[in-house]
Amino acid sequence: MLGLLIKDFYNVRKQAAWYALMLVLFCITAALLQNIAFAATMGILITISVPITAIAYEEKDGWQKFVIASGLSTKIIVGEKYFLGILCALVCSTGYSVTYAAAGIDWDIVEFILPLCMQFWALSVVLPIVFAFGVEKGRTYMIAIIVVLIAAFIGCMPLLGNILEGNRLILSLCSTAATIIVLALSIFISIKIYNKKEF
Amino acid sequence: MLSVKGLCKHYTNFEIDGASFDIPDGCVVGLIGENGAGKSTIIKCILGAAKPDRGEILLDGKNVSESTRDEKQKISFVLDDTGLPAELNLNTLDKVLSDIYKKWDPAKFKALTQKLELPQKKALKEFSKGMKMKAAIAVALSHDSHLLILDEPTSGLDPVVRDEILEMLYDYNRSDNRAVLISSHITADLEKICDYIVYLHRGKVLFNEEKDTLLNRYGVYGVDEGQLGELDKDAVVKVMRRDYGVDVLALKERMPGDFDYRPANLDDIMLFFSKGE
Repeated sequence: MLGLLIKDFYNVRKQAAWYALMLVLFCITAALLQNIAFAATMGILITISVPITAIAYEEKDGWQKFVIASGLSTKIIVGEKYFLGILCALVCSTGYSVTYAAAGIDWDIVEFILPLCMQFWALSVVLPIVFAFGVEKGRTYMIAIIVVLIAAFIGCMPLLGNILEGNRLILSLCSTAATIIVLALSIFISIKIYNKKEF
Repeated sequence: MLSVKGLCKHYTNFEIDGASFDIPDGCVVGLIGENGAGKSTIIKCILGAAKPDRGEILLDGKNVSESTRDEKQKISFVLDDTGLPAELNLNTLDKVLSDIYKKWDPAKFKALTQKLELPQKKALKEFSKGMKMKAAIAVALSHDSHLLILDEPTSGLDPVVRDEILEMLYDYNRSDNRAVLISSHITADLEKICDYIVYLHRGKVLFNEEKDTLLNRYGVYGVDEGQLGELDKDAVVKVMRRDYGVDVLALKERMPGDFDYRPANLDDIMLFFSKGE
């Protein structure tokens, strides 16, 4: 998997630099407005965009045929893209957590965990679509899903906040458990899709 | 080494219909056929990039679809589009592939790319077509494979590069009884290095024979309609009517000795079988 990661880092390095700059700007904005949704939105975008960009390069280069022919298992090929997305999600979440801490803003763990879960949900929904339809066709579905997820995120935050006022630990645990299940299911579906794919 | 048995693959406007042939140890097998005949589809099926509807592909007696990573890596390959990441240079590619191939040999890769005068630090996207193909061949030769499969490796390349590539294939084939399957419609290249020829026409294997036997069997005869009528029908394989007369692909040993002919090359055989009556 390390080889695949090295390849993807090289392929996406220019875009990654832009995303890093955008993340910094959104983190500063989120800290100034004391609204983590700004940074979290950027986090979702980066989490799904980096693996998708990596897949787009693979499609352009014909790498998918190469790597299948080289005997690498679909579990590794698919798993690496999830790993890349998870890595991006963690970097983004760490980014805005550090920004909040540096700005001296009072925040709790739920504000960190929920956006992180949203990033994993986005990744879980988008990657099977991209594996099934390819980057070009998958992009249309992806945009629709991002809009729905962001709307749901922004809309549900106050509602959940009211319902679970005082139960923030339960909210965090439930979100984490649901995210793990969705992520595992998504990886399973993606492997099934990839196994049936022809290049 | 590798056996393709009754391979069928159906697409909307095209199908491979029961293709069967063998690639024996130590042999070079040429897969010829016009564009769209199904050469690349068969290669994709062998490499696992496409799934056959029926039939089986056996590598050392075991179905390739059930092969382990180690077993699959006994096959090295050169794809028509190379499949290599264009953003990477050869040094980075070396790092990537050393993680993918269990028997990757970095020293051999370095030596091959230096021998082929490929720049180490230039991104592959800046390589010419010939350089990309050389890089793909260097990759294919840098892990311990027993069978090398090439899909149109010399297409669009100048004669000098083509000759270099054929020389490398020849060296690979001579060492350790290794086999090669090469698809091409540049039949002159195949005549130089192949032991067997598999001719694919509209998804069907029309013949699968030893190259020398094939080339010795046929002759091309220029006759007129009157002479054509007098010929032994069993000797005449295919006929192509031209403005100036009739060209006949015929079995030399069955033809009268006093007829002038020229030896048929693979291009002739392909042309007669695809367009002849």
